[in-house]
Amino acid sequence: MGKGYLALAVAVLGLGFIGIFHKLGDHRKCRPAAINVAVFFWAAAMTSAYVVSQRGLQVFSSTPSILALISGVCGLFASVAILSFQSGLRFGKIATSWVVINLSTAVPTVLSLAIYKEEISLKKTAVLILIAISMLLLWKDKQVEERRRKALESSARNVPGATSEVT
Amino acid sequence: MWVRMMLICFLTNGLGAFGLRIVTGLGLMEAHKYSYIALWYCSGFLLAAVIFFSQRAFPNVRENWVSMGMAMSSVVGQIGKAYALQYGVPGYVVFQVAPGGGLFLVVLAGVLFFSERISNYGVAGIILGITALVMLAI
Repeated sequence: MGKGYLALAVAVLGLGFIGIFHKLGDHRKCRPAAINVAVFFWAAAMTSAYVVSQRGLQVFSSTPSILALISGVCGLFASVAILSFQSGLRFGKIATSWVVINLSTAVPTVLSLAIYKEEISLKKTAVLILIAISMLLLWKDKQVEERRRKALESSARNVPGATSEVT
Repeated sequence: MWVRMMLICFLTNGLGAFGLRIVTGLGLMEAHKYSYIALWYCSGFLLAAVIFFSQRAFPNVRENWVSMGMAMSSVVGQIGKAYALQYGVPGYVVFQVAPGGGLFLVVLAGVLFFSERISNYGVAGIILGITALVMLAI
C-alpha cells in the first residue's frame, strides 16, 4: 500500500505541474499560440507512436469514420480551450484560472443529462450548484482585483514619480 | 478579457471532453479508445498549427521546453494514477485525491511562488470548486 500512496503522490504532483507549467509559460513570456501548437504536437506524437507501436499503422484505417469525426471535432474544441486558457492567463491568476478549466467537467455532465437522459441524482445536482456558485465567486474575485488595480493606478497618478512603481 | 477567455475555455474544454461520452454511447470506446485519443490530439494539433504557422513563426526553445513539461506532467499524472490503483489504493481515494490535490498544488504555487493575491471571494470559490470536483470524482 505504501508504494500505492507514493504513486498517488506522484500523480498529484504530475497533475499539478501541468498548471504550473502553464503559469511558467506565461511568466516567461511564451506565446500562447506557440505553447498550444507545441503541446498538441508532443501529445499527438507520443500517443500516435504508442498506438502504432501497439496495433500497427492499420489501426487508423480500421477506425470507424464516425469515431474519426467525433474525435476530430472534439480535438478542435480542446485546441481552442488551451489557446484561450493560455491567452487568458495574461489577464488573470493561475490559482483561479486553473479552477475554471477544471470545473469545465460541468459541461459534459450537463450535456449527458440533457442528451442521454441520465439520472439526475442528488449528488450531481449538488455538484452543479457548487460549480455555479464557485464560478460566480471567481468572477467576483476578478472584480475585486480590477477595483484594487484601478485604485492603485489612480493613487499612483496622484503621487508624482510613482507611476513606474505601479506598472 | 480574463472573463471572456475563461468562458470560452470553460465551454470548449467541456465540449472537447464530451466526445468520450458520445463514443462510449455508440459502443466504440472499448475497441478504439487509443485511436480516438491519438486522432483527438492530431486534430487539435492541426488547428493549432494553422493558427500559429500562418503567422510564419516557429516555437522557440523555451516554448518547446514548457510544452514538453506540460505533456510529460500529464503522462506522469496518468501513470501515477494507474500505478496507485494497481498497488491497491482504493479507486474512491485515487479519484478524490488526484484532481483535488493537483488543483490545490496549483493554487498553492500561484500564491507562494507567483505572489498572486486572492480575495475572500476567490478563496471561497476555490474551496467550493475543489469540493465540487472531489464530489464529482467519487
